[in-house]
Amino acid sequence: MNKDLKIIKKKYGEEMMHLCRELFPTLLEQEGLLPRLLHDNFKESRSLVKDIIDNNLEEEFKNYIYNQVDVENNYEEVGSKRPEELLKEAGYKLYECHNEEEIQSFRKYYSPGEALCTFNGGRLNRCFVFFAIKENVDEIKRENFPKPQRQDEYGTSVISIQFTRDNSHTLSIKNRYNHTVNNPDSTFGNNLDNIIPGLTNSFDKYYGMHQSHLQNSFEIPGYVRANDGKYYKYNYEINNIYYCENNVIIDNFEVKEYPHEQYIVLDYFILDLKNKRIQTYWNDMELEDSFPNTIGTIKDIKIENDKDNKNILIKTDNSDEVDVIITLDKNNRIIALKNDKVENIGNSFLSYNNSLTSIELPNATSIGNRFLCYNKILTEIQLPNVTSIGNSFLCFNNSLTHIELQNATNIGNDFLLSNKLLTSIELPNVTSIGNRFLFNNVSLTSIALPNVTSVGNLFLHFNNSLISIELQNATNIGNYFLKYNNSLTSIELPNATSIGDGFLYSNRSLTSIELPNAQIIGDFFCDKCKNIDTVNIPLIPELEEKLKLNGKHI
Amino acid sequence: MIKLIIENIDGYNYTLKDNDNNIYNINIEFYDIDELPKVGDIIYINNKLLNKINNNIVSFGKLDGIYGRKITDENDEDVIGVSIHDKVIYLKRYYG
Repeated sequence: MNKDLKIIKKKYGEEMMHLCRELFPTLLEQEGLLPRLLHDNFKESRSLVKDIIDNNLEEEFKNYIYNQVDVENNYEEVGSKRPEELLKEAGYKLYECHNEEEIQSFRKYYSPGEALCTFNGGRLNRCFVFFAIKENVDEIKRENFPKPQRQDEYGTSVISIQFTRDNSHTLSIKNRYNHTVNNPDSTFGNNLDNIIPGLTNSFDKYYGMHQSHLQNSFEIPGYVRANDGKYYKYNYEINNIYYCENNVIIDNFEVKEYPHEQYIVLDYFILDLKNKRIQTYWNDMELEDSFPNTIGTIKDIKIENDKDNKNILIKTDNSDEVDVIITLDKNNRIIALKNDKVENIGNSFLSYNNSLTSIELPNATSIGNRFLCYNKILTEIQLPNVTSIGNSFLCFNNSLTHIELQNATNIGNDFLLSNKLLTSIELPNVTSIGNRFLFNNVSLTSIALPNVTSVGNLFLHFNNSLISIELQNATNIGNYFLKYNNSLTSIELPNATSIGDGFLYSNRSLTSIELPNAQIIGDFFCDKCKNIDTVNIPLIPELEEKLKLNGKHI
Repeated sequence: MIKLIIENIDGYNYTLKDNDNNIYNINIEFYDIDELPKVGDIIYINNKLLNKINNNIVSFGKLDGIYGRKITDENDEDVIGVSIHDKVIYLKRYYG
């Protein structure tokens, strides 16, 4: 095997080696060149090749690497070749636009919904505008490209080459797909030489388009370019600080590497193995995350490797047993957590974490606000002794299907907000529910809340699957209770005395309502409920009268 | 979002400064607004977008404009806020 490929395989993995062999055969002829180029531009990572391939960036990656190389001796002499001639060799015909009418004449090449904002008018005030059209453009049909990719035949069959009118002549090459693809304004990496070598100099010579800062950007989702010129894969970006794999934190684009012998950077925390301490990197109290506080005083730390994952086993205080187990994936993101000791969980617990799938807190009794509030993928949760839950609990999770909170009594606002997949929930002892309870959940079909006395506003808003509900002890119901539910046919709230606005608004399947003790009911009661034939609200005769006038039967 | 103050405008070239006195130079074309921002006005921008467009050219227009991606989340990276006379107007990135 070529020596350079061996080096690449060692640092970036076997797949990267295969990719480099395919993309850079000429560069591999110069020993040491390609490994140096990769090293200068990309932090060593086994994830890089997968991220390039998954994002269909092979062509951009290739162009980016080639642009790092001084290839002047590989270009044809520009000489007398005008841009029109060079582009003709590349299969294009070049047009310069001198007025708005000429610009609009190219609109016909763009599919509906993919037109350039150049066609909105006025671009000539800001830029010199050219269009390059492939000779065989009429054969390249949009319907034959169901999976658009920026550099495919359709995307590059009509390109708009635009230079700003100021002295920088900043270049942007616009794609025929426009915003249907990523980075449509950087087609060919905004490098004319990627269309055909020599084109940059030719535009400079014949049109005066001298680009004062030639761009060579490479964008890959999940990567940041630091001041050292290298791309780093990051797990989290919080307030412009990037928390990367391999113990790297990039702060204001400056790279900080934490020695592996002493530290583990997990999510956005730093575990100091020597001083037995865990803390967030930042000192901003407004961004406080309570996770480190839940660990307590660390007595002992052990690390166990388990295939791609690693378990951090922590003994706290004076315990001889392992109290805390933190499981990390190969990128040092927290994917599972078990803490046998913690009782009180403060605010913003792992609030930025987006990788945790399983959590067990068997002795936790109270949970603050914003608990795992940006986590979307948690599927297993054990909180058997929790009694009190703050606001925004798991509020954007959309993977959880079942949750049991047997001992919970008080639940704050925005509980499981936007948990669309939840189909089953057990809250047998809850007495008080805040606003926006299960807001945007669309999957729950039944719910039993036997001890709830108070329900906040927007309860199960947007859920239209619920067919069964038990709230026999509820006395106070907030505004817009079960708004837009279309499946409930009957409801009984035997102890409700006060009901807010918009009760059962637009519940089109509802036929029967029993509110024997309701004394106060707000506006828009059962508005747009067309099928009610039985209503029992004996303490508000005027409401019964109103419903009669609306033609509903009692 | 990061808060940027407009320090200077030269044609379409905006010089912007953040709270840490970092300077950004961006060539910006605004569509769909009655009044362009002036020196001293504020632009609120997602820092991922800022990193992409610094020293680059970009256009912005109304949130439901056809020249940009469909915006469903107010935290979308493509959304900026422009504060003119203390009133914030939200725009999205236009492409092409």
